[in-house]
Amino acid sequence: MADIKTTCPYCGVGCGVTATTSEAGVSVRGDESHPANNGRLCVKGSALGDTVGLERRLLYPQVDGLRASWDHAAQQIARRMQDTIKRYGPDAVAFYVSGQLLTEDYYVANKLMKGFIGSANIDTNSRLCMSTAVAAHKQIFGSDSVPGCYEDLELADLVILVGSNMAWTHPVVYQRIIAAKKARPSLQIVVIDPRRTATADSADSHLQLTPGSDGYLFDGLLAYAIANDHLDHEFIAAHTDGFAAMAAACSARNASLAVTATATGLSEVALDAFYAQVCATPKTVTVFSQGINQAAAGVDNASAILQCHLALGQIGKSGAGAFSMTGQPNAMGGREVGGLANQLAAHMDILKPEHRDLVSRFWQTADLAPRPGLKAVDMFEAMASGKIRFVWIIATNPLVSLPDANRVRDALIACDCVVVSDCVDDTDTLRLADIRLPAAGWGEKDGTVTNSERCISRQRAFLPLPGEAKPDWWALSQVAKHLGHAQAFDYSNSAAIFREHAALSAFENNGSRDFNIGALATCSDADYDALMPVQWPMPIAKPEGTARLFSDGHFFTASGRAQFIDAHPQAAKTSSPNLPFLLNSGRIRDQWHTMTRTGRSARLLSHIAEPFIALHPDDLAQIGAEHEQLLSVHNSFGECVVPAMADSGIARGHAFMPIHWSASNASQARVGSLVAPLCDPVSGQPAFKQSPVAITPLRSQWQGILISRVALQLPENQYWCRHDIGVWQIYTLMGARLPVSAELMALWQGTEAHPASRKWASLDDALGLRHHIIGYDNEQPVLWFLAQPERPRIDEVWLLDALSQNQLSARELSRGVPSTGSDTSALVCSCHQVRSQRLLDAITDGHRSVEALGACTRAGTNCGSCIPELKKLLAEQMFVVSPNPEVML
Amino acid sequence: MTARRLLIIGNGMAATRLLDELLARGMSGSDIAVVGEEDAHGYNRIALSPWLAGEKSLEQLITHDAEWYAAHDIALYLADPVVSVAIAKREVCLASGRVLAWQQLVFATGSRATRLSIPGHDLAGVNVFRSLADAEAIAATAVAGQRAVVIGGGLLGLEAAWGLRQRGLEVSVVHNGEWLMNRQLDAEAGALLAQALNARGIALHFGARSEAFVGDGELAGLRLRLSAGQEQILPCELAIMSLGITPEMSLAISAGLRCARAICVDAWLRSSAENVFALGECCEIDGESFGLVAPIYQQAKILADTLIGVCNLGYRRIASPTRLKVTGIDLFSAGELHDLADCKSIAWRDTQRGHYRRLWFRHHQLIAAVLFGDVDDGGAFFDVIEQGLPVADPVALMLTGSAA
Repeated sequence: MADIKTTCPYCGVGCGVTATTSEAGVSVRGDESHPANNGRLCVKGSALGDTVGLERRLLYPQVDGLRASWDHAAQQIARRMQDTIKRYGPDAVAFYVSGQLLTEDYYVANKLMKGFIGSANIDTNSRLCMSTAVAAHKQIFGSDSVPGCYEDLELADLVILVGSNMAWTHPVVYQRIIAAKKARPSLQIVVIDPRRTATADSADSHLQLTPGSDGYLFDGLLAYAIANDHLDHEFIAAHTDGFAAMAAACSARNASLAVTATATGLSEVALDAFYAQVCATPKTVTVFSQGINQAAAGVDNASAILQCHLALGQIGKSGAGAFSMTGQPNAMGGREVGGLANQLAAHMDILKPEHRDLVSRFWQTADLAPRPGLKAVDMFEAMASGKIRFVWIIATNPLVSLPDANRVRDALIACDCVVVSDCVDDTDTLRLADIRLPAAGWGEKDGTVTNSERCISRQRAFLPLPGEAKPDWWALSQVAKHLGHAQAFDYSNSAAIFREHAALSAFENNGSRDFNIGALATCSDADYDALMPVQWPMPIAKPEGTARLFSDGHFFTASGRAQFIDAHPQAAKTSSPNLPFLLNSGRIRDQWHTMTRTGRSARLLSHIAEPFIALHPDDLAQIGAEHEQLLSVHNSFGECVVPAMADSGIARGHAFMPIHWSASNASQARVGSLVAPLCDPVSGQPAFKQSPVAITPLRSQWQGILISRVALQLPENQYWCRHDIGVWQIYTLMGARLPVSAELMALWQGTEAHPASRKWASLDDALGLRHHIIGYDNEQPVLWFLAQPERPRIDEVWLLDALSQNQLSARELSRGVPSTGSDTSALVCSCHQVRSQRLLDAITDGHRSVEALGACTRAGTNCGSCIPELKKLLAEQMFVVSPNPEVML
Repeated sequence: MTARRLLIIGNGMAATRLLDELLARGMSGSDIAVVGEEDAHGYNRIALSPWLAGEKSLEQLITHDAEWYAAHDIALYLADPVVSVAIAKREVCLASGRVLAWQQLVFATGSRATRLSIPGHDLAGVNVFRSLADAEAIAATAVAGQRAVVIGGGLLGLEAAWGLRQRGLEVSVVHNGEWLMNRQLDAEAGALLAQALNARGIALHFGARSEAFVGDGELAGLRLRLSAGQEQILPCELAIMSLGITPEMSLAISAGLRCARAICVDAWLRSSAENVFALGECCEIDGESFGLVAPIYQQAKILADTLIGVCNLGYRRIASPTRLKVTGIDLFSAGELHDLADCKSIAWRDTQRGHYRRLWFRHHQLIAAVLFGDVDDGGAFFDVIEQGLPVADPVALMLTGSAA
């Protein structure tokens, strides 16, 4: 029953989590002592205890489909890798890793590939998320440095959120801003997003610009600051290079506000107001995220933001700076160890001979990769074309997450050997693996992560390793030993790896490199176990860490000065008559990535359990479709078939799809299959946000729900999506022809051990209204099916419990709701499981503010991420919403 | 000559219920005389099947014993049937020769079990199952291990069959129709019932016409003509004919009352003669005759009012659902199952528990319902049928018993 302090494995906020293990399971709460969250957790973090069960875990190594020992698996990996290298050279081998890895895992993977295999073909899914910010930081600051810290968001007078639905994707930091605004209402929030999201709801203003035009907006801001002389001349003169050339080009491009207005679709009045506000507010922080990073000209967009802050002197000061919010829990740690193909290690540059020399000496290797490797999209293209023949994928699902996902499938099929390390037993990518390795999951891993504000925290194990699951650093080291590098990979624990990593960061550094955690290079195992969260740099002389970089005006370029460059904006992709919609993509509030973990929590699924495409209601009407109708979304790369969601927050001509669904949990909902493999030329980060697509409504005669604890064949040519709760798989189905119960029972009679023993309860409906089937094996209900013309509404929590308990008759189970009545309206507050009907009742009873609703129903009183939805409900009920909602944190 | 104000011919359930209603309205028992054909006090005929099955004792059957009649000072003549009625003289004559005068006369003569008049029907061992005396006679001769045949797969026949089976007899049911209880059940429910009875050791013969009881003085078998034409003899030592009831109206006919299928009465139970009334299975109202208890209890109330001179609205036709309970088999049926030609039905089958329910609709109105195994919602369906209102969600109604 001991409390273990660890960190959340989801977003880049990097919240501290206190986990308690008891016979009843794992419970979690926010760690009050962690500086990122001070005890808060969002709904995903709060539900972590739901995700640690051992159902559907990968527990044993498998080689070519057969269970194998770790030793055999490691030997096979080493042998196949060596065969590939012998025949095609080291660049025919690749690692594709993940921002989910701990720093220690990441360090060992990078060391093995770049230091000993001798290729730099290691890239990471952070390429899809952070590489644009990395490239912009490096070209402007000379180093991949996030200048500020979370506290700056609370100290600022103006917070600009651009390309970020922070209310849903980084809820805890968002709630910190909201709390700061409540304490100090003069704090202004401006949201820049082509969608009107939950984040925009609490903003003082929302600039709903043309998708992909962010670069023009910030280029225009620079021009405005130059034209109206709001520049910090002193700072520019003392600490930067290249301003004059940049300013001339920028001013020439932006002769008047009208130019920017045309490019961004915003009014000149709105632009003037925004620009004046930024220029008049020294304490301005610009937070940017995937809306900026995932663009074909992403590095220019991000650079424009950084340059605005340099020109206005809004950097290196408390309450001012440009802040890149990372998506993943350890994207920063991955960058620190050089997990990207164009990095080396410890923020060193693979193109610099002196850095290669330094790292070679430190690692005592003669085989250091001589040049950068292939970035993610190019890496998979090289597999498809036969240049890369061996790949080891760790903790990521590229078949779902990469652009042109169908091509990624071809790439893996073309490889001679695909090794996949994962903690779950079925992902789209795992299905194509020759060798599967069982990895430690959250709760079992032990190491460090770095969050968006450069804060290194311990992730501590509080559960035993199940089956034969092992940490990824251990698996990599085993293979390294079989490759003949036993001495370089003879790690006894993650602390030993961390000490080496820290020592490398300080090795011959002398202040020349931003990343220096030399103060930790000699920490004991006990010190490491007790490590408190700390922000790097923390060189030996400054063990307390560093909240803000660049306060002294020193940058890590050759001249020590920040570099202005000509970051000229580019037009984003546009729609065409054949592909009239631009498709945006992103996360939804309660899910994480491909749902392998969050998809196991019933309460997280109760917010949104299905893929969808959101369109403006007028666009829906124009294509002749209705809310929840099935739509085909297609272009030359692929097709998705998902239900429509009417959303007036989407601009006309645009669409939004969540990224979470894959071939293992939906029939055809991989948004990646619609995304062109078009990347920023500098960062190699794919442009996920504006894919031209056509959208056609499909006719569906019926909609159904199938709940099963046995594997079932689904009726063909129907839409489905699936999520798993415990032993149950829950499918939502839609189709053109209502399958007849008798046909389904024949299809589902099963090929299992005792097919004849399956008994049925079923509806025989001559009126043709509904089909119900419940299947029993050995008197236990094993499948439950309901189909009808309209969308079935069930009480999933009640039904799963009732099916598992098996005390009710099939008839009592058949409707999917308890006979005593049940609220199946939309779930609004996931933390306290409050549904919209209960909230509407409370509003009717006179609870007519967010605060009153919270006091009455508890909705919105934990993570606060549903507060925008509470406000929307109140507004719909025609009640005035107070401008500063009480957030009870 | 004894004279009381009111004379009731018959002491069955209709008569005893009428007595209860009259006493409740303040009529004195000393104004009432009752003549019973049977040598039994008031008993619950419905409980005869469980009594035969050994599930109920004789004490549990008796509803009105000798002490009750004495306590209420009601004159009771048992085992002394009325042989003639003189309407004009306001007298009746009993078999014993006793003559009773009356001012108001009620026929509560009930009905008799329908008998087959096929060869051998008078052999020892051939019974009907109608009265306590019938039940006692069967119980007295039935021996475990004997073979028994019940002719008629209706409600009463099946109850009798189960009663005998409970006593350890080898029981067969011979049924003319295609499935059991074909007036109350559809073919599928009938088949489920047959399956359940088979599982309880009762053999069933469908589409079989009984041609003769065979035996030499004592019953030895029943000769059947099967639907395919061939003959079959079922060996048996005991037979029960359960082929329905015939209203007992011979006395009324000879008294000159107007009769059709039964004694004709109006909605206030008044016969064609002044101060002469009839209720229960022996009467008919607007062509409707009666066999179930609910409408007869209604008649008892109305007639009690009529007899003491209180106005009421008169008899109004009420439908009654059928429930059958043969240990472990629950059945429910309501509505017009004979007229479903233009109806559409929905059904729910639960092979796991052996449950079945089917509802028939005509233009959104519930017309009939059959439930097998799980009869929880029978009452609700009956109400929906009676109300005749459109049903918005037939499937929800079927699954939950609620149309909401």
